[in-house]
Amino acid sequence: MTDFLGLSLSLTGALGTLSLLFALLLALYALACSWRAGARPDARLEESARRALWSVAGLVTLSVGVLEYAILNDDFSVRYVAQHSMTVSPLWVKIVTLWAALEGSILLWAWVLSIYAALVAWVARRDVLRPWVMGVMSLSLLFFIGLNLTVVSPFTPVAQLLSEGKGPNPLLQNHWMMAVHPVLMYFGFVGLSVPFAYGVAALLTGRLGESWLIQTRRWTLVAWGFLTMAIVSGGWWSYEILGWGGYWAWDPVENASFVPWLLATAFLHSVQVQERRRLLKGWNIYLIVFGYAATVLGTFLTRSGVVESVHAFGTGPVGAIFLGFFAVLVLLGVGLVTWRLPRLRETGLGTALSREGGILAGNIIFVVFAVLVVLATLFPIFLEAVRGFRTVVGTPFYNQFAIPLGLFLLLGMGLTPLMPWRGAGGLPRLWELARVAVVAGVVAGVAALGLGVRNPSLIVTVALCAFNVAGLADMTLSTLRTRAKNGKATTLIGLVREFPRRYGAYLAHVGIVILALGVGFSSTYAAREEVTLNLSQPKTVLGKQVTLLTLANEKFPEKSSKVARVQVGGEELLPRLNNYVNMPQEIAMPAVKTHFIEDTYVTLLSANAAQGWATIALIKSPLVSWIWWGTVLVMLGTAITFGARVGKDALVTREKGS
Amino acid sequence: MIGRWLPPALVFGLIALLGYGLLQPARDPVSVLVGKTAPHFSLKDTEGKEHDLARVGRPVVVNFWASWCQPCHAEAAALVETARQHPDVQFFGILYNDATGKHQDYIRRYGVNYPTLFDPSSRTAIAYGVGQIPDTFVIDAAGKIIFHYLGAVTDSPQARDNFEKALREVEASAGSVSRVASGVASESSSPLTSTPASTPIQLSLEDERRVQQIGMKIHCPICSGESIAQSQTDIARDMLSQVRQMVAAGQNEREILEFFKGRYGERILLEPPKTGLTGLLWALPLVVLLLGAAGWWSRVRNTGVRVLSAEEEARIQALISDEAAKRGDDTQ
Repeated sequence: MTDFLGLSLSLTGALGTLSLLFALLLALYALACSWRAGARPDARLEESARRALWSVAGLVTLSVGVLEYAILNDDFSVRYVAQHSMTVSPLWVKIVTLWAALEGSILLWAWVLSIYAALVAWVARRDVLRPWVMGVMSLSLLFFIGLNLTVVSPFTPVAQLLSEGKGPNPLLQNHWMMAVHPVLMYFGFVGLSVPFAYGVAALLTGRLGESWLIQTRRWTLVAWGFLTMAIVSGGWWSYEILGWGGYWAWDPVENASFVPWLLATAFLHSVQVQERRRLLKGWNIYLIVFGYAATVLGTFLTRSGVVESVHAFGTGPVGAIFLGFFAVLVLLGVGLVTWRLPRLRETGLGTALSREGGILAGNIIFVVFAVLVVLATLFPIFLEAVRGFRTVVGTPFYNQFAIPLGLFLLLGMGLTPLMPWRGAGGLPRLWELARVAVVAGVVAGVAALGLGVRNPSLIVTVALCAFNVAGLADMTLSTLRTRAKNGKATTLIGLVREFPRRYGAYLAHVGIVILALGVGFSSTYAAREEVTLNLSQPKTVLGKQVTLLTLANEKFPEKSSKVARVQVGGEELLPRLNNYVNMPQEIAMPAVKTHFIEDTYVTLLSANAAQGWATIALIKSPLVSWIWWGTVLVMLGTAITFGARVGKDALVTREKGS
Repeated sequence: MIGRWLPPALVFGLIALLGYGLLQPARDPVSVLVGKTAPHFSLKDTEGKEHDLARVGRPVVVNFWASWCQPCHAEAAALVETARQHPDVQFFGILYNDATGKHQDYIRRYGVNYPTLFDPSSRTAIAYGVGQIPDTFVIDAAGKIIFHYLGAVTDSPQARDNFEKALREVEASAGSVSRVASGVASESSSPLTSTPASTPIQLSLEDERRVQQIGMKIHCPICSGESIAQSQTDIARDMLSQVRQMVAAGQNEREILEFFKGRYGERILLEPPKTGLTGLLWALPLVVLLLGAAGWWSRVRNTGVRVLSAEEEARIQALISDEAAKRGDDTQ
């Protein structure tokens, strides 16, 4: 009993557990201090809570360092290392093994959360909200650190020391994106905990004005930016490794990241209505409560195996615990809003064809989208409850609502920035503002039809994209012209400097337009053909001459590979079939050449070097790279918006034109 | 006001559903083939001898396995022992996507005393609706499937009992029934060769596109959400090649989807049926969208309250902040 840390079994494990234990105690202390300081202002207690949060960050960082050290040194006395790492893996695989399995990924979550908590404690304004914000952050920290100390402890020692570990999941070693995507995802997911904490603080204190929103604007932007990058990089990863040439399959794991993104996107837009018109207060709080709760719900769905159509093999208690935390979060948020609702004195907007009316419409579409994704993901559980067996709800169903809703969003994205606040000027004014954009949209739609596009939703996509870009260009140009006329001539750069929030948003919208074109064209015009090639006997596949140049077997410590050198048109590609030592089945590693217009994509399906044949799939999908480039623009726009000064820019008296 | 209590009510419902889903023990689907005539097969064993299901004339146990499958190893010894105890039942092992060549070690290690059959392009596995393995079927002397179990039959004492019971049942009825020929046509009896596993059937580009479209509607039985047109797993590729063969034979989409549904059950379709309970799902998007539209309209419609102009609001704001400044309050 004296050796509850397992010191005699694993020194590293004990060190990790110990630092987590201290972190837990300090998080508890921070919670107690901030609670007291919130209930009755006390500067010293509040300061103490801040320092406690900084120490928590330090201690969790230490335990992350310990685990990474154990992995890099093949310390198989730690169970996590024994089960998920092996000596022969290359260095980068070992580094990412830290988050390649459940225990480590929860530790990464706790780590990112502790960093956010420390940052909030550092930069938050000294006002009545701050202690409560720190308190809510400590609550989240308690949950995740507690989880790491109990059911998903990465530091549990092993009694029987092995000389070699079981190694990481081969799918996760196949591409370097594994090093990037999960980290981005956690920074996005966990980032939403900050605006959530502010929302709860606002409800607790009753300070439901704009102050909490203005303070969280940057936090939300950061979280949203990470989430966007994470989702797109996940898509890119699937595209690069799964071998079917697609990037999105509506599987529960993807949906789990998409729902918080939809809600956070809605929130980013609707806060403007509250800043400008002091309306939608309850709506905004609901959005952020459900946005953060959705990240936990998503984790629950993917970790508990409840929606897996595949037979779930013992998932342990972690599912129930996440469900409990989800319940606590939503009941806390929803309960507080229900309690405070009379105080919010919500009134209607009073105008439909206005900026606020458009933003609300877009918001409702985002929420409808999120609700439908959640319902479709959960429908198999509901069906099982009713009739005892499951059904799969797959891509065809999702596309049926995602395409129309996506088009509605494109329409709203183009129209709303054109509409004046309060609907000033009525319909005649709106037509005046939207004229150019509408004409551009119609012309583009007709042009697409003329060029042979026959898919109705793709034609509408093209039209709406032109509508968006023309609208933004028209607004920018007319602002420049008005400025010149009033003797205050400026350049585009000058305008961006002056109104970073508006022009950052415009740039992000242009990025989304490019992304939408990429999604539309690649999903409509993807073509795929399988062919068996004999060495140096060219065949024509999808209009291109394809030759199998060489076929080789390569051996590495952690895997053996069949590598085909395939010439497609003028290019050489090297698709592989990898056979990892810790997995009996081969997995394909496709080769992709990215181009501006059309990617060349080759997957090796089977091969026999001795007999000199290989079966490959050639995939052509147009404009896929536009999705990645569009995202880069969205990120640039987000960065510009982030630069806008807090507070001043949000004042109600700002803004002229548009 | 209903609006106030609606979100808490919805949240409670959601949590209750999730809790139910979590507490519900994971039940494996029983094959839709139970009670039906066993799909016919005629396959070569590891020694090159052909075995035709229609000519066995005894009750049969079919067990799909692979040397890479851990639960298969777990049940192997028990299965061999069971086969020894039931000499009147013909056991067949059918190799499932096992190209590693390690099946010989497995056969030797567990002393497998019954024929192990090769299943080129997984045609028989598909006919039996096999995705995950081990998967075991008990067929009576009349050629009807009377028992199915997904997972190692040694999983639990209960699974083992059920398996034993099914074996005793087929043995008991074996004497009284004479063997009838199976109604399901043979799908494949091609010998295992070392040529490319599925020599692609040459289809027109139009037909190949149809194959991909149909493939997009069929769930890869061992994947989470991926269709057989997307997944690179062996079984998905074999299923897609079956689709290709059916398209080449002139079958239409409905017939092909019906075939797969008849073998794997409804869960094989990525597009849930538009009738019955799943019809509810198809109605959801419209219902939720209409609710959203109604919510939007109730918020934006002109209620007669005059919308203040920007100047008026700025003035109010200035007054409020003056007031707040006097009180030393910065938030409201």
